[in-house]
Amino acid sequence: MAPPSRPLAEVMAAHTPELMALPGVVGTAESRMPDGRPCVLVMVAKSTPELRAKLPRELEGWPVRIEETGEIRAMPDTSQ
Amino acid sequence: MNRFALFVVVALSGAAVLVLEILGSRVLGPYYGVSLFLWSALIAVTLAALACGYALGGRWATRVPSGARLSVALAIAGLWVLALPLLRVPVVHAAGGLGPRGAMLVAAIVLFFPPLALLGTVGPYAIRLASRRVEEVGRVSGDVFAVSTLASVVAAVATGFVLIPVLGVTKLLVVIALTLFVAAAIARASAGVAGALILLVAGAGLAAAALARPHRLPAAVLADADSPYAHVRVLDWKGQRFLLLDGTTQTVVNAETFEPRQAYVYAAELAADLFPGRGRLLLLGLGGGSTVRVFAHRGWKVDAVEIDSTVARMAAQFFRLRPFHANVVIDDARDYLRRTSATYDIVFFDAYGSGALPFHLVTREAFAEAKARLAPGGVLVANVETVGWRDPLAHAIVATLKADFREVVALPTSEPPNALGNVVILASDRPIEVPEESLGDPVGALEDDDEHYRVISRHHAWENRYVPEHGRVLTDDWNPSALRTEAINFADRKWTKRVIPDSLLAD
Repeated sequence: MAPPSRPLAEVMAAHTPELMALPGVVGTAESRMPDGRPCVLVMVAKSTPELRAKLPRELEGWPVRIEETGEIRAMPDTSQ
Repeated sequence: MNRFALFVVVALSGAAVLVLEILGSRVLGPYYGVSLFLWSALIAVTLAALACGYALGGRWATRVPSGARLSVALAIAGLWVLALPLLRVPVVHAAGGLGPRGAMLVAAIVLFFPPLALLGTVGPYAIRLASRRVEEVGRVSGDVFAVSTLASVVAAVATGFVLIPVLGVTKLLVVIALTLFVAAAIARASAGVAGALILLVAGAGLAAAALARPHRLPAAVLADADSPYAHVRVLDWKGQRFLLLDGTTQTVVNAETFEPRQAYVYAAELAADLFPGRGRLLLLGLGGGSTVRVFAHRGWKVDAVEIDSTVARMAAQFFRLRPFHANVVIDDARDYLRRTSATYDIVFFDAYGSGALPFHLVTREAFAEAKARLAPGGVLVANVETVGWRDPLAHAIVATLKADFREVVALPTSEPPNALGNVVILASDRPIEVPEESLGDPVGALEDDDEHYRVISRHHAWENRYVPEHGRVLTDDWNPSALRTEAINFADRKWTKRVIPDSLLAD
Protein backbone atom coordinates (compact mmCIF):
# COMPACT_ATOMS: atom_id res chain seq x y z
CA MET A 1 0.00 0.00 0.00
CA ALA A 2 1.46 3.35 -1.05
CA PRO A 3 1.88 5.92 1.71
CA PRO A 4 -0.86 8.57 1.90
CA SER A 5 -0.20 11.61 -0.23
CA ARG A 6 -2.77 13.89 1.39
CA PRO A 7 -4.53 14.21 4.75
CA LEU A 8 -7.22 11.72 5.74
CA ALA A 9 -9.92 14.40 5.95
CA GLU A 10 -9.26 15.46 2.35
CA VAL A 11 -9.33 11.88 1.13
CA MET A 12 -12.59 11.30 3.00
CA ALA A 13 -14.16 14.37 1.47
CA ALA A 14 -13.08 13.30 -2.01
CA HIS A 15 -14.26 9.70 -1.82
CA THR A 16 -17.31 9.83 0.46
CA PRO A 17 -19.80 10.58 -2.35
CA GLU A 18 -18.79 7.47 -4.30
CA LEU A 19 -18.90 5.35 -1.13
CA MET A 20 -22.31 6.70 -0.18
CA ALA A 21 -23.58 5.87 -3.65
CA LEU A 22 -23.22 2.16 -2.85
CA PRO A 23 -26.50 0.70 -1.54
CA GLY A 24 -26.04 -0.31 2.09
CA VAL A 25 -23.43 2.32 2.97
CA VAL A 26 -24.94 4.66 5.58
CA GLY A 27 -22.02 6.88 6.48
CA THR A 28 -18.30 7.43 6.72
CA ALA A 29 -16.05 8.62 9.51
CA GLU A 30 -12.43 9.00 10.47
CA SER A 31 -11.46 6.22 12.81
CA ARG A 32 -8.60 3.95 13.73
CA MET A 33 -7.61 0.39 12.88
CA PRO A 34 -7.21 -2.05 15.78
CA ASP A 35 -3.46 -1.36 15.67
CA GLY A 36 -4.07 2.39 16.07
CA ARG A 37 -3.46 3.50 12.48
CA PRO A 38 -5.88 6.19 11.28
CA CYS A 39 -8.34 4.86 8.73
CA VAL A 40 -11.51 5.53 6.77
CA LEU A 41 -14.47 3.95 8.55
CA VAL A 42 -17.28 2.91 6.27
CA MET A 43 -20.49 2.34 8.22
CA VAL A 44 -22.82 -0.15 6.62
CA ALA A 45 -26.38 -1.19 7.36
CA LYS A 46 -25.53 -4.85 6.79
CA SER A 47 -22.08 -6.17 6.06
CA THR A 48 -22.76 -8.61 3.19
CA PRO A 49 -20.06 -10.31 1.09
CA GLU A 50 -21.43 -8.50 -1.98
CA LEU A 51 -21.08 -5.09 -0.34
CA ARG A 52 -17.64 -5.86 1.08
CA ALA A 53 -16.49 -6.90 -2.38
CA LYS A 54 -17.50 -3.50 -3.75
CA LEU A 55 -15.73 -1.49 -1.07
CA PRO A 56 -12.04 -0.61 -1.45
CA ARG A 57 -9.47 -1.92 1.00
CA GLU A 58 -7.64 1.36 0.98
CA LEU A 59 -8.13 4.88 -0.30
CA GLU A 60 -5.08 6.82 -1.43
CA GLY A 61 -2.90 5.00 1.06
CA TRP A 62 -5.34 5.14 3.99
CA PRO A 63 -6.74 1.78 5.13
CA VAL A 64 -10.52 1.27 4.95
CA ARG A 65 -12.41 -0.39 7.77
CA ILE A 66 -15.96 -1.64 7.23
CA GLU A 67 -18.13 -1.68 10.30
CA GLU A 68 -21.50 -3.02 11.22
CA THR A 69 -21.01 -2.39 14.91
CA GLY A 70 -23.22 -4.43 17.14
CA GLU A 71 -26.16 -6.39 15.94
CA ILE A 72 -28.97 -4.07 15.01
CA ARG A 73 -32.26 -5.84 15.34
CA ALA A 74 -34.29 -3.44 13.34
CA MET A 75 -36.81 -2.57 10.75
CA PRO A 76 -35.30 -1.19 7.57
CA ASP A 77 -34.13 2.39 7.57
CA THR A 78 -37.11 4.69 7.41
CA SER A 79 -35.26 7.96 7.16
CA GLN A 80 -34.20 7.75 3.52
CA MET B 1 -11.48 -37.21 37.92
CA ASN B 2 -8.94 -36.59 35.16
CA ARG B 3 -6.77 -33.62 36.08
CA PHE B 4 -6.72 -32.08 32.62
CA ALA B 5 -10.50 -32.28 32.42
CA LEU B 6 -10.73 -30.71 35.85
CA PHE B 7 -8.60 -27.76 34.79
CA VAL B 8 -10.77 -27.29 31.69
CA VAL B 9 -13.78 -27.07 34.02
CA VAL B 10 -11.93 -24.56 36.20
CA ALA B 11 -11.03 -22.45 33.15
CA LEU B 12 -14.58 -22.45 31.78
CA SER B 13 -16.11 -21.48 35.12
CA GLY B 14 -13.44 -18.82 35.75
CA ALA B 15 -14.17 -17.30 32.35
CA ALA B 16 -17.92 -17.38 33.01
CA VAL B 17 -17.47 -15.42 36.26
CA LEU B 18 -15.87 -12.45 34.51
CA VAL B 19 -18.22 -12.51 31.53
CA LEU B 20 -21.19 -12.45 33.92
CA GLU B 21 -19.72 -9.62 35.98
CA ILE B 22 -19.12 -7.44 32.92
CA LEU B 23 -22.40 -8.43 31.32
CA GLY B 24 -24.17 -7.33 34.49
CA SER B 25 -23.62 -3.73 33.42
CA ARG B 26 -25.51 -4.44 30.19
CA VAL B 27 -28.29 -6.40 31.83
CA LEU B 28 -28.98 -3.63 34.36
CA GLY B 29 -27.59 -0.58 32.51
CA PRO B 30 -30.76 0.07 30.49
CA TYR B 31 -32.67 0.46 33.76
CA TYR B 32 -30.19 2.32 35.97
CA GLY B 33 -27.49 3.71 33.69
CA VAL B 34 -23.92 2.44 33.64
CA SER B 35 -22.56 4.48 36.49
CA LEU B 36 -19.94 4.32 39.18
CA PHE B 37 -22.67 3.03 41.48
CA LEU B 38 -23.76 0.20 39.19
CA TRP B 39 -20.18 -0.98 38.77
CA SER B 40 -19.64 -0.78 42.53
CA ALA B 41 -22.78 -2.87 43.08
CA LEU B 42 -21.75 -5.47 40.50
CA ILE B 43 -18.20 -5.81 41.78
CA ALA B 44 -19.41 -6.03 45.38
CA VAL B 45 -22.00 -8.69 44.50
CA THR B 46 -19.46 -10.69 42.50
CA LEU B 47 -16.90 -10.69 45.30
CA ALA B 48 -19.50 -11.49 47.97
CA ALA B 49 -20.90 -14.34 45.88
CA LEU B 50 -17.44 -15.77 45.25
CA ALA B 51 -16.62 -15.55 48.96
CA CYS B 52 -19.76 -17.52 49.78
CA GLY B 53 -19.02 -19.98 46.99
CA TYR B 54 -15.47 -20.55 48.23
CA ALA B 55 -16.71 -21.25 51.76
CA LEU B 56 -19.53 -23.54 50.68
CA GLY B 57 -17.45 -25.27 48.00
CA GLY B 58 -14.73 -26.07 50.50
CA ARG B 59 -17.22 -27.67 52.86
CA TRP B 60 -19.04 -29.63 50.15
CA ALA B 61 -15.76 -30.85 48.69
CA THR B 62 -14.66 -32.12 52.10
CA ARG B 63 -17.90 -34.04 52.61
CA VAL B 64 -18.64 -35.33 49.08
CA PRO B 65 -15.67 -34.89 46.71
CA SER B 66 -17.08 -36.01 43.36
CA GLY B 67 -17.18 -34.67 39.86
CA ALA B 68 -20.87 -35.52 39.71
CA ARG B 69 -21.65 -33.12 42.56
CA LEU B 70 -19.56 -30.43 40.93
CA SER B 71 -21.52 -30.90 37.71
CA VAL B 72 -24.78 -30.22 39.55
CA ALA B 73 -23.52 -26.81 40.73
CA LEU B 74 -22.38 -25.93 37.21
CA ALA B 75 -25.63 -27.06 35.60
CA ILE B 76 -27.74 -25.04 38.06
CA ALA B 77 -25.57 -21.99 37.37
CA GLY B 78 -26.12 -22.54 33.64
CA LEU B 79 -29.87 -22.79 34.12
CA TRP B 80 -29.88 -19.57 36.14
CA VAL B 81 -27.94 -17.74 33.44
CA LEU B 82 -30.40 -18.97 30.81
CA ALA B 83 -33.24 -17.62 32.92
CA LEU B 84 -31.69 -14.14 33.39
CA PRO B 85 -33.46 -12.55 30.39
CA LEU B 86 -36.78 -13.73 31.83
CA LEU B 87 -35.97 -12.71 35.41
CA ARG B 88 -34.60 -9.23 34.90
CA VAL B 89 -37.79 -7.30 34.13
CA PRO B 90 -39.79 -8.64 37.12
CA VAL B 91 -36.77 -8.20 39.40
CA VAL B 92 -36.14 -4.63 38.26
CA HIS B 93 -39.82 -3.76 38.70
CA ALA B 94 -39.98 -5.38 42.13
CA ALA B 95 -36.91 -3.42 43.25
CA GLY B 96 -38.27 -0.18 41.82
CA GLY B 97 -39.36 1.32 45.12
CA LEU B 98 -35.96 1.10 46.77
CA GLY B 99 -34.42 4.22 45.27
CA PRO B 100 -31.73 4.13 42.58
CA ARG B 101 -28.85 2.81 44.67
CA GLY B 102 -30.92 0.29 46.66
CA ALA B 103 -32.72 -0.94 43.56
CA MET B 104 -29.58 -1.57 41.53
CA LEU B 105 -27.90 -3.31 44.46
CA VAL B 106 -30.89 -5.57 45.14
CA ALA B 107 -31.36 -6.34 41.44
CA ALA B 108 -27.66 -7.21 41.14
CA ILE B 109 -27.89 -9.49 44.19
CA VAL B 110 -31.03 -11.32 43.06
CA LEU B 111 -29.91 -11.79 39.48
CA PHE B 112 -26.21 -12.48 39.83
CA PHE B 113 -25.43 -13.71 43.34
CA PRO B 114 -26.80 -17.27 42.89
CA PRO B 115 -24.91 -18.26 39.71
CA LEU B 116 -21.71 -16.54 40.84
CA ALA B 117 -21.83 -18.24 44.24
CA LEU B 118 -22.26 -21.60 42.52
CA LEU B 119 -19.28 -20.84 40.29
CA GLY B 120 -17.32 -19.88 43.40
CA THR B 121 -17.67 -23.45 44.63
CA VAL B 122 -15.68 -24.77 41.66
CA GLY B 123 -12.24 -23.66 42.88
CA PRO B 124 -12.17 -25.43 46.26
CA TYR B 125 -13.95 -28.40 44.76
CA ALA B 126 -11.34 -28.67 42.02
CA ILE B 127 -8.50 -28.38 44.55
CA ARG B 128 -9.96 -31.22 46.58
CA LEU B 129 -10.53 -33.43 43.52
CA ALA B 130 -7.10 -32.76 42.03
CA SER B 131 -5.13 -33.27 45.26
CA ARG B 132 -4.13 -36.85 45.83
CA ARG B 133 -1.76 -36.17 48.71
CA VAL B 134 -1.59 -33.42 51.31
CA GLU B 135 1.87 -32.45 50.02
CA GLU B 136 0.29 -31.57 46.66
CA VAL B 137 -2.32 -29.20 48.00
CA GLY B 138 -0.19 -26.06 47.78
CA ARG B 139 0.81 -26.65 44.17
CA VAL B 140 -2.62 -27.80 43.06
CA SER B 141 -4.40 -24.85 44.65
CA GLY B 142 -1.89 -22.49 43.06
CA ASP B 143 -2.51 -24.08 39.66
CA VAL B 144 -6.29 -23.91 40.10
CA PHE B 145 -6.19 -20.22 41.03
CA ALA B 146 -3.80 -19.47 38.17
CA VAL B 147 -5.88 -21.27 35.53
CA SER B 148 -9.11 -19.74 36.78
CA THR B 149 -7.67 -16.23 36.89
CA LEU B 150 -6.01 -16.52 33.48
CA ALA B 151 -9.31 -17.68 31.98
CA SER B 152 -10.96 -14.68 33.63
CA VAL B 153 -8.38 -12.36 32.08
CA VAL B 154 -9.02 -13.75 28.60
CA ALA B 155 -12.77 -13.57 29.17
CA ALA B 156 -12.63 -9.98 30.42
CA VAL B 157 -10.80 -8.81 27.31
CA ALA B 158 -12.95 -10.86 24.94
CA THR B 159 -16.21 -9.75 26.54
CA GLY B 160 -15.66 -6.03 26.20
CA PHE B 161 -13.74 -6.02 22.96
CA VAL B 162 -15.56 -8.71 20.99
CA LEU B 163 -18.40 -10.64 22.56
CA ILE B 164 -20.81 -7.89 23.63
CA PRO B 165 -20.44 -5.85 20.43
CA VAL B 166 -20.75 -8.92 18.20
CA LEU B 167 -23.27 -11.11 20.01
CA GLY B 168 -25.29 -8.70 22.11
CA VAL B 169 -26.51 -9.45 25.61
CA THR B 170 -29.10 -12.17 25.08
CA LYS B 171 -27.01 -14.38 22.81
CA LEU B 172 -23.99 -13.97 25.05
CA LEU B 173 -26.00 -15.13 28.06
CA VAL B 174 -26.94 -18.24 26.09
CA VAL B 175 -23.29 -18.81 25.18
CA ILE B 176 -22.29 -18.58 28.85
CA ALA B 177 -25.05 -20.98 29.85
CA LEU B 178 -23.99 -23.44 27.17
CA THR B 179 -20.38 -23.13 28.32
CA LEU B 180 -21.45 -24.00 31.86
CA PHE B 181 -23.40 -27.03 30.63
CA VAL B 182 -20.28 -28.19 28.75
CA ALA B 183 -18.26 -27.73 31.95
CA ALA B 184 -20.91 -29.65 33.87
CA ALA B 185 -20.79 -32.47 31.32
CA ILE B 186 -16.99 -32.67 31.59
CA ALA B 187 -17.24 -32.82 35.38
CA ARG B 188 -19.99 -35.44 35.15
CA ALA B 189 -18.02 -37.62 32.71
CA SER B 190 -15.93 -39.03 35.57
CA ALA B 191 -19.05 -40.72 36.88
CA GLY B 192 -20.23 -42.02 33.53
CA VAL B 193 -20.53 -40.93 29.93
CA ALA B 194 -24.30 -41.31 29.86
CA GLY B 195 -24.84 -38.61 32.48
CA ALA B 196 -22.44 -36.30 30.66
CA LEU B 197 -24.26 -36.82 27.39
CA ILE B 198 -27.61 -36.11 29.03
CA LEU B 199 -26.24 -32.84 30.41
CA LEU B 200 -24.83 -31.87 27.01
CA VAL B 201 -28.04 -32.66 25.17
CA ALA B 202 -30.17 -30.92 27.80
CA GLY B 203 -27.93 -27.86 27.76
CA ALA B 204 -27.89 -27.67 23.97
CA GLY B 205 -31.67 -28.12 23.85
CA LEU B 206 -32.31 -25.40 26.41
CA ALA B 207 -29.86 -23.06 24.70
CA ALA B 208 -31.51 -23.68 21.34
CA ALA B 209 -34.92 -23.04 22.90
CA ALA B 210 -33.65 -19.81 24.43
CA LEU B 211 -32.27 -18.67 21.07
CA ALA B 212 -35.43 -19.69 19.27
CA ARG B 213 -37.60 -17.75 21.71
CA PRO B 214 -39.10 -15.03 19.56
CA HIS B 215 -37.44 -11.74 20.35
CA ARG B 216 -39.84 -9.42 18.65
CA LEU B 217 -39.23 -5.77 19.18
CA PRO B 218 -42.28 -3.55 19.22
CA ALA B 219 -42.93 -1.97 15.83
CA ALA B 220 -42.05 1.45 17.25
CA VAL B 221 -38.49 0.29 17.96
CA LEU B 222 -36.48 0.89 14.79
CA ALA B 223 -33.13 -0.35 16.01
CA ASP B 224 -31.63 -1.98 19.04
CA ALA B 225 -27.94 -2.72 19.46
CA ASP B 226 -25.26 -3.29 22.06
CA SER B 227 -22.17 -1.25 21.37
CA PRO B 228 -18.93 -1.38 23.37
CA TYR B 229 -20.17 1.70 25.25
CA ALA B 230 -23.92 1.42 25.71
CA HIS B 231 -27.19 -0.22 24.87
CA VAL B 232 -28.42 1.84 21.93
CA ARG B 233 -32.06 2.03 20.88
CA VAL B 234 -33.89 4.09 18.28
CA LEU B 235 -37.66 4.39 18.46
CA ASP B 236 -40.56 6.45 17.18
CA TRP B 237 -43.21 7.57 19.62
CA LYS B 238 -45.97 10.12 19.20
CA GLY B 239 -44.45 11.81 16.19
CA GLN B 240 -40.95 12.02 17.64
CA ARG B 241 -37.85 9.92 17.03
CA PHE B 242 -35.72 9.11 20.06
CA LEU B 243 -32.14 7.92 20.42
CA LEU B 244 -31.78 6.22 23.79
CA LEU B 245 -28.46 5.27 25.37
CA ASP B 246 -28.77 2.86 28.27
CA GLY B 247 -32.42 3.79 28.59
CA THR B 248 -32.02 7.57 28.79
CA THR B 249 -32.83 10.11 26.14
CA GLN B 250 -29.93 11.30 24.04
CA THR B 251 -31.63 12.80 20.99
CA VAL B 252 -35.20 13.74 20.12
CA VAL B 253 -36.29 14.95 16.70
CA ASN B 254 -39.53 15.49 14.85
CA ALA B 255 -40.01 12.07 13.21
CA GLU B 256 -41.23 13.65 9.97
CA THR B 257 -38.97 16.67 9.51
CA PHE B 258 -36.00 15.48 11.61
CA GLU B 259 -35.76 18.94 13.18
CA PRO B 260 -34.56 18.87 16.82
CA ARG B 261 -37.09 18.65 19.63
CA GLN B 262 -34.66 19.49 22.40
CA ALA B 263 -34.45 23.11 23.43
CA TYR B 264 -30.78 22.86 24.34
CA VAL B 265 -29.80 22.45 20.69
CA TYR B 266 -31.24 25.88 19.94
CA ALA B 267 -29.80 27.39 23.11
CA ALA B 268 -26.38 26.18 21.96
CA GLU B 269 -27.05 27.55 18.48
CA LEU B 270 -26.98 31.03 20.07
CA ALA B 271 -23.19 30.67 20.20
CA ALA B 272 -23.19 30.90 16.41
CA ASP B 273 -24.94 34.27 16.68
CA LEU B 274 -21.85 35.65 18.39
CA PHE B 275 -20.05 35.43 15.05
CA PRO B 276 -20.76 37.64 12.04
CA GLY B 277 -20.60 34.83 9.50
CA ARG B 278 -19.93 31.15 9.15
CA GLY B 279 -17.36 29.53 11.36
CA ARG B 280 -15.91 26.22 12.33
CA LEU B 281 -17.43 24.02 15.04
CA LEU B 282 -15.87 21.13 16.91
CA LEU B 283 -18.67 19.05 18.42
CA LEU B 284 -17.61 16.60 21.11
CA GLY B 285 -20.43 14.05 21.26
CA LEU B 286 -22.41 13.44 18.08
CA GLY B 287 -25.48 11.65 19.41
CA GLY B 288 -28.21 11.67 16.79
CA GLY B 289 -26.56 14.58 15.01
CA SER B 290 -29.17 17.27 15.77
CA THR B 291 -26.59 19.90 16.68
CA VAL B 292 -24.49 19.07 13.64
CA ARG B 293 -27.41 19.56 11.32
CA VAL B 294 -28.41 22.89 12.89
CA PHE B 295 -24.92 24.34 12.53
CA ALA B 296 -24.37 22.79 9.10
CA HIS B 297 -27.59 24.38 7.83
CA ARG B 298 -26.15 27.74 8.89
CA GLY B 299 -23.12 27.04 6.71
CA TRP B 300 -20.75 26.14 9.52
CA LYS B 301 -18.01 23.61 8.89
CA VAL B 302 -18.37 20.91 11.52
CA ASP B 303 -16.02 18.26 12.89
CA ALA B 304 -17.94 15.89 15.16
CA VAL B 305 -16.13 13.53 17.52
CA GLU B 306 -18.07 10.51 18.74
CA ILE B 307 -16.55 7.70 20.77
CA ASP B 308 -19.19 5.16 19.81
CA SER B 309 -19.30 4.16 16.14
CA THR B 310 -22.68 2.48 16.69
CA VAL B 311 -24.13 5.86 17.69
CA ALA B 312 -22.58 7.42 14.59
CA ARG B 313 -24.13 4.73 12.46
CA MET B 314 -27.53 5.24 14.07
CA ALA B 315 -27.24 8.98 13.38
CA ALA B 316 -26.56 8.25 9.72
CA GLN B 317 -29.12 5.51 9.35
CA PHE B 318 -32.02 6.84 11.39
CA PHE B 319 -31.47 10.59 11.95
CA ARG B 320 -30.56 11.72 8.45
CA LEU B 321 -27.01 12.72 9.27
CA ARG B 322 -25.19 12.96 5.96
CA PRO B 323 -21.46 13.26 5.25
CA PHE B 324 -21.87 16.82 3.97
CA HIS B 325 -23.17 17.85 7.41
CA ALA B 326 -19.96 17.03 9.23
CA ASN B 327 -16.65 15.27 9.22
CA VAL B 328 -17.27 12.55 11.79
CA VAL B 329 -14.32 11.25 13.80
CA ILE B 330 -14.60 8.15 15.96
CA ASP B 331 -12.44 8.94 18.96
CA ASP B 332 -12.43 9.93 22.61
CA ALA B 333 -13.01 13.68 22.93
CA ARG B 334 -9.93 14.46 25.01
CA ASP B 335 -7.76 12.21 22.91
CA TYR B 336 -8.91 14.13 19.84
CA LEU B 337 -8.35 17.51 21.53
CA ARG B 338 -4.77 16.53 22.30
CA ARG B 339 -4.18 15.08 18.84
CA THR B 340 -5.67 17.68 16.54
CA SER B 341 -3.88 20.78 15.33
CA ALA B 342 -7.03 22.40 13.96
CA THR B 343 -8.54 25.54 15.50
CA TYR B 344 -12.25 26.20 15.92
CA ASP B 345 -14.55 29.14 16.57
CA ILE B 346 -16.71 27.00 18.83
CA VAL B 347 -15.83 23.87 20.78
CA PHE B 348 -19.04 22.28 22.05
CA PHE B 349 -18.98 19.65 24.81
CA ASP B 350 -22.17 17.69 24.14
CA ALA B 351 -21.04 14.35 25.51
CA TYR B 352 -22.64 14.58 28.92
CA GLY B 353 -25.25 11.83 28.74
CA SER B 354 -27.92 11.75 31.40
CA GLY B 355 -27.20 8.08 32.04
CA ALA B 356 -23.58 8.75 32.85
CA LEU B 357 -21.33 11.81 32.81
CA PRO B 358 -17.83 11.18 31.46
CA PHE B 359 -16.04 12.82 34.39
CA HIS B 360 -12.86 13.43 32.38
CA LEU B 361 -14.78 15.86 30.15
CA VAL B 362 -15.92 18.24 32.91
CA THR B 363 -12.59 19.16 34.40
CA ARG B 364 -10.43 22.24 34.24
CA GLU B 365 -7.82 20.24 32.34
CA ALA B 366 -10.35 19.15 29.69
CA PHE B 367 -11.58 22.71 29.22
CA ALA B 368 -7.98 23.95 28.99
CA GLU B 369 -7.30 21.45 26.22
CA ALA B 370 -10.41 22.69 24.43
CA LYS B 371 -9.40 26.33 24.92
CA ALA B 372 -6.07 25.59 23.27
CA ARG B 373 -7.99 24.64 20.14
CA LEU B 374 -10.13 27.80 20.11
CA ALA B 375 -9.39 30.58 17.64
CA PRO B 376 -9.05 34.10 19.12
CA GLY B 377 -12.51 35.17 20.27
CA GLY B 378 -13.69 31.58 20.24
CA VAL B 379 -16.45 30.22 22.44
CA LEU B 380 -16.56 27.05 24.50
CA VAL B 381 -20.05 25.59 24.90
CA ALA B 382 -21.06 22.92 27.40
CA ASN B 383 -24.46 21.25 27.53
CA VAL B 384 -25.31 19.59 30.81
CA GLU B 385 -28.51 17.95 31.96
CA THR B 386 -29.58 19.19 35.38
CA VAL B 387 -32.48 19.16 37.79
CA GLY B 388 -33.28 22.87 37.74
CA TRP B 389 -31.35 25.96 36.79
CA ARG B 390 -29.52 26.07 40.11
CA ASP B 391 -28.31 22.49 40.02
CA PRO B 392 -24.95 22.13 41.82
CA LEU B 393 -23.52 20.48 38.72
CA ALA B 394 -24.19 23.60 36.63
CA HIS B 395 -22.61 25.71 39.37
CA ALA B 396 -19.53 23.49 39.42
CA ILE B 397 -19.08 23.53 35.64
CA VAL B 398 -19.48 27.31 35.56
CA ALA B 399 -16.91 27.68 38.36
CA THR B 400 -14.56 25.40 36.44
CA LEU B 401 -14.93 27.44 33.25
CA LYS B 402 -14.53 30.71 35.12
CA ALA B 403 -11.06 29.58 36.16
CA ASP B 404 -9.86 30.04 32.57
CA PHE B 405 -12.42 32.23 30.76
CA ARG B 406 -13.28 35.89 31.36
CA GLU B 407 -16.99 35.57 30.48
CA VAL B 408 -19.28 32.69 31.42
CA VAL B 409 -23.06 32.64 30.92
CA ALA B 410 -25.57 29.89 31.68
CA LEU B 411 -28.62 29.48 29.43
CA PRO B 412 -31.44 27.45 31.02
CA THR B 413 -33.96 25.46 29.01
CA SER B 414 -36.19 23.79 31.61
CA GLU B 415 -39.49 25.26 32.71
CA PRO B 416 -40.39 25.61 35.53
CA PRO B 417 -36.91 26.50 36.78
CA ASN B 418 -36.74 23.57 39.19
CA ALA B 419 -37.58 20.95 36.54
CA LEU B 420 -35.35 18.47 34.78
CA GLY B 421 -33.79 20.03 31.69
CA ASN B 422 -30.57 21.25 30.20
CA VAL B 423 -28.36 24.17 31.01
CA VAL B 424 -26.16 25.34 28.16
CA ILE B 425 -23.05 27.17 29.33
CA LEU B 426 -21.12 29.57 27.10
CA ALA B 427 -17.57 30.62 28.00
CA SER B 428 -15.25 32.98 26.18
CA ASP B 429 -12.62 35.65 26.66
CA ARG B 430 -14.79 38.02 24.64
CA PRO B 431 -18.10 39.61 25.66
CA ILE B 432 -21.03 37.23 25.21
CA GLU B 433 -23.86 39.33 23.77
CA VAL B 434 -26.42 37.93 21.36
CA PRO B 435 -28.19 40.63 19.37
CA GLU B 436 -31.89 40.70 20.27
CA GLU B 437 -32.92 40.85 16.63
CA SER B 438 -31.19 37.56 15.86
CA LEU B 439 -33.34 35.62 18.32
CA GLY B 440 -36.21 35.43 15.86
CA ASP B 441 -39.87 36.42 15.89
CA PRO B 442 -42.06 33.95 17.81
CA VAL B 443 -45.27 35.29 16.27
CA GLY B 444 -43.86 35.28 12.76
CA ALA B 445 -42.79 31.66 13.22
CA LEU B 446 -46.23 30.43 14.33
CA GLU B 447 -47.05 28.79 11.02
CA ASP B 448 -44.01 26.50 11.14
CA ASP B 449 -44.15 24.32 14.21
CA ASP B 450 -40.44 23.41 14.12
CA GLU B 451 -39.33 27.00 13.59
CA HIS B 452 -41.67 28.23 16.31
CA TYR B 453 -40.16 25.72 18.75
CA ARG B 454 -36.69 26.90 17.73
CA VAL B 455 -37.43 30.58 18.20
CA ILE B 456 -39.21 30.08 21.52
CA SER B 457 -36.30 27.96 22.77
CA ARG B 458 -33.78 30.63 21.78
CA HIS B 459 -35.77 33.41 23.44
CA HIS B 460 -36.29 31.42 26.62
CA ALA B 461 -32.64 30.49 26.93
CA TRP B 462 -31.24 33.96 26.26
CA GLU B 463 -33.78 35.98 28.21
CA ASN B 464 -33.27 33.81 31.30
CA ARG B 465 -29.47 33.77 31.15
CA TYR B 466 -27.70 33.87 34.47
CA VAL B 467 -24.30 33.31 36.03
CA PRO B 468 -24.18 30.68 38.79
CA GLU B 469 -21.90 31.93 41.56
CA HIS B 470 -21.41 29.07 43.98
CA GLY B 471 -19.44 26.15 42.70
CA ARG B 472 -16.11 24.49 43.19
CA VAL B 473 -13.65 23.93 40.37
CA LEU B 474 -13.61 20.35 39.06
CA THR B 475 -10.24 18.88 38.16
CA ASP B 476 -8.89 15.56 36.94
CA ASP B 477 -7.80 15.03 40.55
CA TRP B 478 -10.98 16.17 42.35
CA ASN B 479 -14.23 15.46 40.59
CA PRO B 480 -17.25 14.20 42.54
CA SER B 481 -19.66 14.84 39.66
CA ALA B 482 -20.88 11.23 39.79
CA LEU B 483 -22.52 11.99 43.15
CA ARG B 484 -24.71 14.59 41.48
CA THR B 485 -25.33 12.84 38.18
CA GLU B 486 -26.97 9.94 40.00
CA ALA B 487 -29.88 12.18 41.00
CA ILE B 488 -30.06 13.64 37.50
CA ASN B 489 -29.96 10.17 35.98
CA PHE B 490 -32.82 9.08 38.23
CA ALA B 491 -34.89 12.17 37.35
CA ASP B 492 -34.24 11.61 33.64
CA ARG B 493 -35.41 8.02 33.88
CA LYS B 494 -38.61 9.10 35.62
CA TRP B 495 -39.20 11.70 32.91
CA THR B 496 -38.48 9.18 30.14
CA LYS B 497 -40.94 6.71 31.66
CA ARG B 498 -43.60 9.42 31.65
CA VAL B 499 -42.98 10.15 27.97
CA ILE B 500 -42.31 6.66 26.58
CA PRO B 501 -44.09 3.44 27.61
CA ASP B 502 -42.03 0.90 29.55
CA SER B 503 -42.60 -1.67 26.82
CA LEU B 504 -40.53 0.44 24.41
CA LEU B 505 -37.70 1.39 26.74
CA ALA B 506 -36.07 -1.99 27.31
CA ASP B 507 -36.77 -5.68 26.84
